[in-house]
Amino acid sequence: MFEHLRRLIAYRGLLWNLALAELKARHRQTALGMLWAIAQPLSMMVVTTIVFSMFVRVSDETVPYAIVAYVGLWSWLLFANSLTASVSSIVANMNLVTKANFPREVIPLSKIVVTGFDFLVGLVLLGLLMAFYRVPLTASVLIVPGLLLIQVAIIVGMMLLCSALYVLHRDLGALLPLGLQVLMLISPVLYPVSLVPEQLKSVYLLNPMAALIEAYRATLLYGQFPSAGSLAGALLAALLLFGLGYQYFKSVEQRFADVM
Amino acid sequence: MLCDAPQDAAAVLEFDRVSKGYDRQSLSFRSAFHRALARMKRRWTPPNPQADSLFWAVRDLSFKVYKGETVGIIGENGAGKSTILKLMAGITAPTHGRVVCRGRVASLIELGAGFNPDLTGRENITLNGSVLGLSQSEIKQKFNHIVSFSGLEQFLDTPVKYYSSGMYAKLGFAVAAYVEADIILTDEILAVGDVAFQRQCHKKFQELQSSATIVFVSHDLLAIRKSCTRVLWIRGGLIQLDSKPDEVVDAYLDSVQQEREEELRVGRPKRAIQGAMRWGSGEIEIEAVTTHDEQGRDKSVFRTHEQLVIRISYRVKGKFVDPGFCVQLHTDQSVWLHGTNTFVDGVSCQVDADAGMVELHYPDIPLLTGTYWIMAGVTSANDWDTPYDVIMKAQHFEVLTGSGEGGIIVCDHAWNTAVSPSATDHPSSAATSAFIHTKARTN
Repeated sequence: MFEHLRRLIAYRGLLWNLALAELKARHRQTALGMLWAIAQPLSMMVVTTIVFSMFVRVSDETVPYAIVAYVGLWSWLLFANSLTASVSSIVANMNLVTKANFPREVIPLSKIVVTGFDFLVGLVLLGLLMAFYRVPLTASVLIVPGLLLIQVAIIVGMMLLCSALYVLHRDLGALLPLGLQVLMLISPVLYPVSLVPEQLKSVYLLNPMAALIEAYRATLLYGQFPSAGSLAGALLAALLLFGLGYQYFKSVEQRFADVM
Repeated sequence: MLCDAPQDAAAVLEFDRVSKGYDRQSLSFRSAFHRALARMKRRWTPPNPQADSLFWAVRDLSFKVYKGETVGIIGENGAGKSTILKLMAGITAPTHGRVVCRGRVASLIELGAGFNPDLTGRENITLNGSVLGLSQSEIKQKFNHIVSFSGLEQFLDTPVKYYSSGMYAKLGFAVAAYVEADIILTDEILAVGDVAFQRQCHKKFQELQSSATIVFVSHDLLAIRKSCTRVLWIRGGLIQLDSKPDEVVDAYLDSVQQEREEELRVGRPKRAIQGAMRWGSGEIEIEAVTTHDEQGRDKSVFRTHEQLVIRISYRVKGKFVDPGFCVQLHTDQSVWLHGTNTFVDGVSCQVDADAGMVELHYPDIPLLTGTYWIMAGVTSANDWDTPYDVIMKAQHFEVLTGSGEGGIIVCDHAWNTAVSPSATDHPSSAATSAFIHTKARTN
């Protein structure tokens, strides 16, 4: 494991350059360029706000629904977009994989740098929204970097698992969007956890993404510290997924060039 | 791939009984199910290597490459050359055995691997450099050298999708040339671009030869002869020969010649062709036209400067007077190369009453690589307007050339590379000592 990590660190330049290349290429071809990074969460927030506060009433006492939905979408999109971008990344870069020798995890990992960039742009927008709706900042925001770390570990683990599985079993290409849709509906992305029936809540929060989104909202919008229990569960899931994903990826990595 | 501490200090690359099998099975659930069944069955039956569905690209290969060598790998398509290169580069892992490398390996298997067409030349230098394992600071440090080597200063901020293929290759080679590695693995990329850039590539390659160990796969036998210190000939995943370049290349050419001979033997017409390619009154009929070596053995693939014997078998069908034969050689594109007959050569023919053969000997075929056609004819008193029998494409043979000379024919030639300005006024006083006669080594 440490041998692998050392080699990965030696190739950090490649990881960075791949991500940079994608960001540059992406923004160079579009008229809106960088604005697209905020267009996705912003437009979804506007639409969901219209739907959920005018058609279906999702009432929340202290914080406007728009910003509740935004926080949910902002953290969910980091997860979903990273997975979507990385699942086929090894196959899409097969000319690199079959022609050069480098730690293959660099390719899927470079995708989280790209989606991470969108996430940071989204953070700036979040700050503006919070100022606009006069949501007060409290000491609990200091937890946010910790939450982000847990989320990144979950994403990296899932990315490595999915991108390696996809090389060997292309069925995953059809399965992943479906899985993400289901997971989004059973996570509090567009609604607050308070709407979930009390007796189901303990099961509901077993989903680490549910626990994480809930924790983001609690710390950023309500000035509360998240419950230690659900966070511990998310942390455990993160460590497990990261370890499993990395281990699996490294164990099949050598076969990539042969399969393609 | 393992990167051990040096034990055998001079060996930088080591194959220890390496085999590589590729799984040709599909990944569908159906076949996965069948495989699972087969695996369960196998538990109760002893393993049978014949039933294995693996395709073995490399079999039980052992060799060492020593520091400072330039090793060429030759062989036919599908012999396993590229697999060997990929095993060395660590791109693929051996199924059995061990590959050991000592030092930094640069695999330049494809020029410009990972170039992003939307990015500029400048951005792609950085990207490609990091693919080849250069760190950010190394790239920064070598950037100017790479740019000036490529000669693409003006196009540095143009997306590479607008580059010509030559420019693309130049940029790729320039980055590759500055990867300072102990072992360099390449695949037919030694010379790219225009003539001037090729010269630059060649010079850089010689520079790299002095500083690194190089392994390269090539079909360019001339480049292999000139650049390598040692050549491996790979055949069916095994080493056929491992020796000095000239020896291996000659043996390889001999084998290609023989195999081609086998293939042609099946497809060659034994009898004379009928139809529009043939005309004549038929008093003497040509039965067959065959090609042979000086001992009279069948041969259809020749090397430049070898002896060619054309044999015409005939059968007498009617009355004839003053018979004579002709032979013409044509290229594949119907260019008439040479023609002669027994009348102009002043040779009289003793035609037997029933059947017989005549032979035309070419002691030294002055032809280069290609397919050549033989026209054969027989007539009376040099009258080719109303011949007994003429067959246009009666037979063909092939010629292989090992040298880099081009064209159809070999002309005897000599270079004088030390012509002094004063000598040009008096051609007779040319410095004969600087003449390099080249006839001897053409095949």
